[in-house]
Amino acid sequence: MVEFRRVYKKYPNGTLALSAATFHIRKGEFVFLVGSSGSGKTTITKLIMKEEDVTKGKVFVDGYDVSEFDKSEIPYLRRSLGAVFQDFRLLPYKTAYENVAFAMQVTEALPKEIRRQVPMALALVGLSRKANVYPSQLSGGEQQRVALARAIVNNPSLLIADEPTGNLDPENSWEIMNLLCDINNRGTTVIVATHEKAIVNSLKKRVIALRRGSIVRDEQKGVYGDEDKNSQVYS
Amino acid sequence: MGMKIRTAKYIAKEGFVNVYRNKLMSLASVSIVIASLLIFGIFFVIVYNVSYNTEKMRQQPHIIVFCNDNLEDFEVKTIGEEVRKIEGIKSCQLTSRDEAFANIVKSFGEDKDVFEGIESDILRQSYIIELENIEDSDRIIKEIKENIYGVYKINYSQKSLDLMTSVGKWMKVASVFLIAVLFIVSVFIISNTIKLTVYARRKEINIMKYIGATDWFIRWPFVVEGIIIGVIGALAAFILTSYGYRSVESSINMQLAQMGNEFIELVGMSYMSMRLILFYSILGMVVGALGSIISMRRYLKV
Repeated sequence: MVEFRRVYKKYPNGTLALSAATFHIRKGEFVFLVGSSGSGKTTITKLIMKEEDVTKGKVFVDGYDVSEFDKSEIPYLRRSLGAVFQDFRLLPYKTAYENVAFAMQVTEALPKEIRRQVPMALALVGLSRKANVYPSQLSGGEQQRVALARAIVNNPSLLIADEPTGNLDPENSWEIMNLLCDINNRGTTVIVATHEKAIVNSLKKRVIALRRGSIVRDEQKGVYGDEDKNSQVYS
Repeated sequence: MGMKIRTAKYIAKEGFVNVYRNKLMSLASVSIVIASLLIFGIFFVIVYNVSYNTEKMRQQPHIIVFCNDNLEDFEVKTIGEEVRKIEGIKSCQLTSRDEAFANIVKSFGEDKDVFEGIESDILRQSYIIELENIEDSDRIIKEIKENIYGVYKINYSQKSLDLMTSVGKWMKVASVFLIAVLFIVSVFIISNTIKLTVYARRKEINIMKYIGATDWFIRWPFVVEGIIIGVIGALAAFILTSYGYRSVESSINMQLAQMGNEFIELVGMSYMSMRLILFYSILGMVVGALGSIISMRRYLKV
């Protein structure tokens, strides 16, 4: 599903955010990307969505070389992916329903299709009863659930979550993580970049650990580890 | 690029809602459109009037024949009769010394005191000749010069027509140039105004990019917003121009008439309005749309 082959990413300001990153995520996997801020987690998600271009190396998504995508093809790449972020990124003047429907509208989906898919996505995240509520009237956890519904409404084969629980309390964090697991169980590949040590440790999923742009550990049923402590010493 | 009807609907609705949602910015942009269109309008009106009058002169060919000042009255009369005999003459009218003098005095208006103690006999008598056809003017002038006794000088409209035509040509070139400059300036100002609304909505644009909206899907509502602003500005500018023009038109025409000018006059607003409103709307829409597109450029690079 996602493959990185000796990927380097250097930002214009000179930071080497990723160096020689190599990994392969298979279809249907659930993978945690862990590491302190600045370790390169977000860079990986940005390279997959082609928000940034690789400096060196190759990134494959669903068998396609992302670096060969033309600028005009990026929207279509993103439609095949779902994404959630720490700050939810909902449109403030649209209701929960409209926010989810909008992701289908941009793909020029049939209204009939939209009317069928959106309630299903909202039901999956347990927000059917708040469909007509605006984001400002929802709690952080609920907003992130709307964002999740939006991410899956187009039935993407890959879901990317960048610090999805960063702004949430433990209880809501668990809820979101459980939803991500549900989505994964229905066949979607899920990549979660996170800091949540407790959750990572108890879920026993594959863990790719990063430190200062390098992959330091990649294990099935992994744990969060203590890379953070070490990186604190260096940084 | 085939666009689905529902997408077009979404874009149109979004454009209108945006104009309303950003009332203050829309108002600012509309004012800029009005200001630039009014400046365009001044040039438009001048060029239109020059070409209107050139055309009018072409259709009303005339020649003025001045008589020698030592002629007896009957000799002056003979000149008139001789002229009327020439083929291709529509009319031939005598302007007496007193009439010519009165015209000149009138044209000085308040300053007519300068003519105190001056008599009308310093002026020559003249005939105003209208031709059936302007193409005959050279032949007729030649005939008058060669065959009629007592003619002092012949003025003919070809001269002023040539002048008007070249003035008109230069006016057109100058106004095209000025309109181009003003166009660039107003696109720049409007793009900066719209940029403020785009900036306020950069997060939305960003979100739309993340969920896979194409650039044009994001851009179109802003373009529609620009076009709406352009059209509103065009309508307002048109109303202002008509009021302004109507209020000066009659007084300028009166003054032209007082100066003894029978040939040049300002066009009535109703003759210009169709073209002016077309000119304004197209310009307004293009300026608005371009302003939007330019102001969006930076924020689409995600």
